Amino acid sequence: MRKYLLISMLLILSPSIFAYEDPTKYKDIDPSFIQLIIKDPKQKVGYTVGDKILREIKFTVKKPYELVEESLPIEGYEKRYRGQKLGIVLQKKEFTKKIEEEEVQYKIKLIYQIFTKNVVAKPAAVTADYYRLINPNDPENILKYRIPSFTFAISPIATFGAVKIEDDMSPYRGPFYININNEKKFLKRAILGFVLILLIFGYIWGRFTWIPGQNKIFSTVYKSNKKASPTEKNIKIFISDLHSGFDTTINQSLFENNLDILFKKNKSFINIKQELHIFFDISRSIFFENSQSINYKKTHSWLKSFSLHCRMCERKLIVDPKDIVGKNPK
Amino acid sequence: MSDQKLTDWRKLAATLESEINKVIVGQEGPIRLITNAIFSRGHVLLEGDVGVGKTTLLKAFARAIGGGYQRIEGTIDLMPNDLIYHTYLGEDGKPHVSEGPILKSGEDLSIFFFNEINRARPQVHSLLLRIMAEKTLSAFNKEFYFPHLIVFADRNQVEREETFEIPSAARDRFMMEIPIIIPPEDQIMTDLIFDTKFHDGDKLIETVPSNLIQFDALNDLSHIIQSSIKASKSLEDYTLNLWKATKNPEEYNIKISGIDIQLLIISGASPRGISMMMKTARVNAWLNNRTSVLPEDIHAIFHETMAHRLVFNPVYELRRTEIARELSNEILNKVSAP
Repeated sequence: MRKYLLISMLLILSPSIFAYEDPTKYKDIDPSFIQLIIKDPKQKVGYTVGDKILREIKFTVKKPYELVEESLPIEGYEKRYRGQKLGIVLQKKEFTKKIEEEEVQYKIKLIYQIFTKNVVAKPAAVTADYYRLINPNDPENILKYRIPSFTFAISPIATFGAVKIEDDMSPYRGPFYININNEKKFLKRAILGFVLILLIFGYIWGRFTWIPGQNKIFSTVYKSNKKASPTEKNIKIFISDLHSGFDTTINQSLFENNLDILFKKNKSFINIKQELHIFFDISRSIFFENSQSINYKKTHSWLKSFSLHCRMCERKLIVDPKDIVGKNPK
Repeated sequence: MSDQKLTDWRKLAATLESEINKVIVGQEGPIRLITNAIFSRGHVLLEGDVGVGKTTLLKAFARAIGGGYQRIEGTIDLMPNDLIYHTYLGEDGKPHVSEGPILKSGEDLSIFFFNEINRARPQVHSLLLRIMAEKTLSAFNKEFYFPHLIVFADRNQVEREETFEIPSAARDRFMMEIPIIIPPEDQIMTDLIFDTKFHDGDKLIETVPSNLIQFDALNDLSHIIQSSIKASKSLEDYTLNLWKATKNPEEYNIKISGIDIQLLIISGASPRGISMMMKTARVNAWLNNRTSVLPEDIHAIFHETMAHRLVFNPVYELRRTEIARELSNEILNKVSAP
C-alpha cells in the first residue's frame, strides 16, 4: 500500500521534478567553444500582469560540439525558482539554425508573458537556462552552458479590489478608461486649435507689431543716438543714421521728392509726413547749406522724438497726432 | 554783381521760361533744362521723334535770347567748308565767296542750330567739336571768335539710314542731351490737333518777345552764378560717389534686369562731363532761389547731363536710350546722400 502511495505521489509531482533540473548534473563546456549575444528589453521596471518580455539570443557553438535542441525552453513552460512557480510563462519560441563549416549559429527568440502582479514592487527574473551540448564523437559526455537570467521588477497595478482606490487617487493622473477614443479626439482638436492660435498670433505679431530682432532699424538709431551730446558732429551722425534707416527701409535712397515710395512701403509713415519734411529741411540746413542759425540742443531733442516716431511707424503703430512736432526746431 | 542783380536775372529767366511755355505746350521739363543750359553756357542736343517740336522749341529760345542766330541742316554730303563759306556766280558773272552760317553773324553769333546733326559726316562733327569747345575757327588766314555761342543740335533716333553715330568725343561736348517726347496729357494733345495757332510754327514763334535776354551778358552772369552758389563738403562727397558710380556701377550694388552690369560700362563720365553737371546743378539751385546746391538740384539734371556721355559696350549700344535712363535712375536710387 505504501509502495503504491509513493508511486502515485511521484506521478503527481513528476512535471515539477522533470522541470527542475539540477545544474550540477552536467559539466560546463569550455567557454571558448561558445559565443553568446543576448538582447534583453531595456525596460527593467514597471512590468505587470499581461506584459511580455522578448529575449533574443544569438548562440554560436563551435565544432565538434552541437546543441541538444531538446534542452531549449519549451513553449508553455512556467519559470520556476527552486521549484516555485514565478508566474512567467514562455509564450512563444522561434528558433533558426545556420550550419557553417566550423560552427553552428542558432537564433532563438523567446517571448515570456507575465502572469503575476503585486501591490508593491517586487523583483522578478526570467531565470537562467542551461543548454545542453554534446560532442557527436563522445555522445555519452553531455556538457552544459548557462544562459544568464534577466532580472526586472514587477510593479503594482491599481485594479479594483486590489488596492483602496481612495488611497491611490494621484492628483497627477485621472482614472483609466477602457475606451479612450473620445479623449484622443479631444486631444487632437485641442492640439489643432493650439497650433492655429499660434499661427494667428505669429501672423499678428509679424504683420502689425514689433518682435524683438525684427524691424529694428529706427530702434537702433534711437538707442545709439539718444544719449549723445547735442554737438554738430553728433547731430550729423544722428541725421546720417536716420537717412540710412530710411534707405534700408525702402531699399534705395530716400529724398524729399520720393517720399511716396516710403509711404507705399509702410503706410504708417504717412502720419508723420509733416515731420519727415522738417527732417529733410534740417538735413539740408546741416549738410548742404551750412546754416549757422541752428540750435543744436533743440534739434537733438527734436531728432530724438522724430526717431521714436519713426520707430513706432516701423512697428506699424499709429503716432498720436498730439505728439507730432510740426515745427522746425531751429 | 549784387544779390539784387542775381534776383533780377532770375526773374528774367522765369519770364523766359514762361514765354516759351506759352508757345511750346507740355514741355515744361525740357524748357527748364534748356533755360538752365543757357545760363550754364552749355551746348544742347535734343533727341526725339520726328515732328515733336524740337526745331520750334529751339527757334523760340533763339528769338528770346537775341544775338545772331544761324542754322544748318545736316545732310550726308555736307562738308565742313559749307559751314564756313559758300561760293556762287554773281550777277556780274564773276565768282563770289560769302560767309557760311558760322561766320555770318560774326562775334554776335549766340545760337547755332544744327538740325539733324547725325546726318552730317564725321568731318563736319570734328569742325563743330572745335567750335563748341574752343569757340574759335581758323579760316581765310584769320582767327574768328564766337564768345557767346551756344550750339543747339537735334537728332532723331528712329531713322538710322544715311546717318552717322555721333562719336563719344562729340557727345561729351554737349552739356545736355534732352529727350523730347509727345506730352501724354489728352488736353494738350487735343490742343495740338485742333488749336490752329499750333499749326504754323513760324507764326507761333513770333509771339515770343524777341531779345528778352541780353545775350552778351550771359557769360559774365554765368561766372557769377557759379561763384556765388555754394557746394558743401557733403555735396562734394555725394557728387564724387555719383561720378564713381558711372564708372563702376557694380561697386554701388546697381543692378538692371537683363544687363550684365560689369560688362555694360566701357567708360564712365569724363571730368569735363561731371564738371558740366555741377555747373548745371548750381544754375538749377540759382533758378530755385537757393544759395547752395542740394542733391535735388543734381537729380533734376543728372540724367540729361550724364546719360549721353557714358560709353556702353557695343552689345548694349542699340538699347542705349532705355538702358541709360534705367542706369541713371538706379545710380540716384543707390547712392546715398549724405
